[in-house]
Amino acid sequence: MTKYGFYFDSSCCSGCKTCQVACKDKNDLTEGIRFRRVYEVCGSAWEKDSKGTWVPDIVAYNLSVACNHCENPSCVAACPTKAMHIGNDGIVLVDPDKCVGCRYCEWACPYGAPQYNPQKGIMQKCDFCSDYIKEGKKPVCVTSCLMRALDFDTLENLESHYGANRDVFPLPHSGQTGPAVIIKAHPGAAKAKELKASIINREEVRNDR
Amino acid sequence: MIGKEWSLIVFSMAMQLSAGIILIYDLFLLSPLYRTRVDIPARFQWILMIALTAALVGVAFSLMHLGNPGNATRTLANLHSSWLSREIFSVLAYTLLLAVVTILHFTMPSAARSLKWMVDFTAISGIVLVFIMSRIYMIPTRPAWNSVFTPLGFYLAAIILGSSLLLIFQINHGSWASQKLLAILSFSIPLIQLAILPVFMAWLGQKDLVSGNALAIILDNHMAAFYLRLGFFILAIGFGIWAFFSIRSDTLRNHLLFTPAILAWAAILAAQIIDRYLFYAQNLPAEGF
Repeated sequence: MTKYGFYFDSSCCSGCKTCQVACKDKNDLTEGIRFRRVYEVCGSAWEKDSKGTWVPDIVAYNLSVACNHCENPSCVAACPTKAMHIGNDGIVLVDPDKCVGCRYCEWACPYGAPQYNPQKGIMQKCDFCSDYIKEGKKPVCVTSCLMRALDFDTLENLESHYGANRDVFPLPHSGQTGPAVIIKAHPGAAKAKELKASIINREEVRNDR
Repeated sequence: MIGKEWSLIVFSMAMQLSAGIILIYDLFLLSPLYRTRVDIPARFQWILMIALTAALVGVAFSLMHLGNPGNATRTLANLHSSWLSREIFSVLAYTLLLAVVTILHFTMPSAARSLKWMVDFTAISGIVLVFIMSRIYMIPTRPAWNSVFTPLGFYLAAIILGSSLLLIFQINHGSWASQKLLAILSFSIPLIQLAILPVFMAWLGQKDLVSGNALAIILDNHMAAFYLRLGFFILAIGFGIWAFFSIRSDTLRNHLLFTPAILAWAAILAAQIIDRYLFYAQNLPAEGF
């Protein structure tokens, strides 16, 4: 079975959020619902250099996160109706005819991927632009990225091009759910935890409705 | 953020009240030590009716939480891996059992004594239900919920909600021993909850999430509710002790128990509602996503 995945290069993402907007436009998403979200990670500290001068140590980078169509998706295990399921090509999908809108998948997913649609009373999420894939095209977030920070292909191809790293702060450890995403970490990400970096635009990207 | 969780607050508290009533009723009021002269008196039927009403209210509010209740029948489809599916199954099983027991007590009161085993079974299913309800929240993505404090809190809530309500029912009819026992529970459980609170806060204070320290987030955003809960806990303990010392072996003077028992119940209910509100406020994602 072909297994698709995303590639994200955190070192060149400018945080323009074109991917987020293009996704909303393509999927006709209402206010508050974002299948792809751009998180702004920021942290800083002061440290004394060799001459005794206090200098700032700052890290700031962006993370564009959508559903990672995990190998062991916690949303699928948690869903009481089996509306959340693994479809063809390993794509994690929501069946709107089965979804009860309990939002338990939202709690269970460590990436905040399932999004609640209050108008429809059900969960919605990224489906890798399945209709585009069938036409041989890439998902809209990938093709709209000005910086070419996003890519899409089979996991096999992505790994051969970009390596196999799936971890970057503050994403949960990839061993938890086996996300289908390859990541090139921002150089500053290595010391992000040490600098107590956090997501600074949480109110902007979280669906609290 | 909490607005959407009101239905869950009512649902969880109503189910735990119901399970608590049945547990206390089964363990103590039906036991030879605490039973009054008359076997399975008529008011016990009403205790069952109140427990059943609470369970039905819980079921109704659980539906209100759903965005698409029309698909509610599908929620039993994933018993294999979903704790939510298991919770819904156990809620339905418990409510059905309780309904059968209540109907039998009303229709065949003379046979009520021989139905003790059914009450036992319902009480056990209530214990299982409270465990499954707590298990829903014990997920790695929500570190502030993912601990033994969740089932502990749910069980203590069930016992205190049930026992303090039953104390009111026992005022004019209950034995001296049963009144004493329920009054002891009415102040000792809030005392235990109060004692656990600093331990829980110390534990929460160690949870450094990406969005900040879990305890600091709760205190920053819900300081008023935090102190209000503390106040109601202290009031509940005070009224419970007052109720304990108001119990007389002379049943003619039992009216003295009425005021403290009602006040204890009101303070306990307020404390538990705020406690549950703060529980849902701890819905803090581990990584901030």
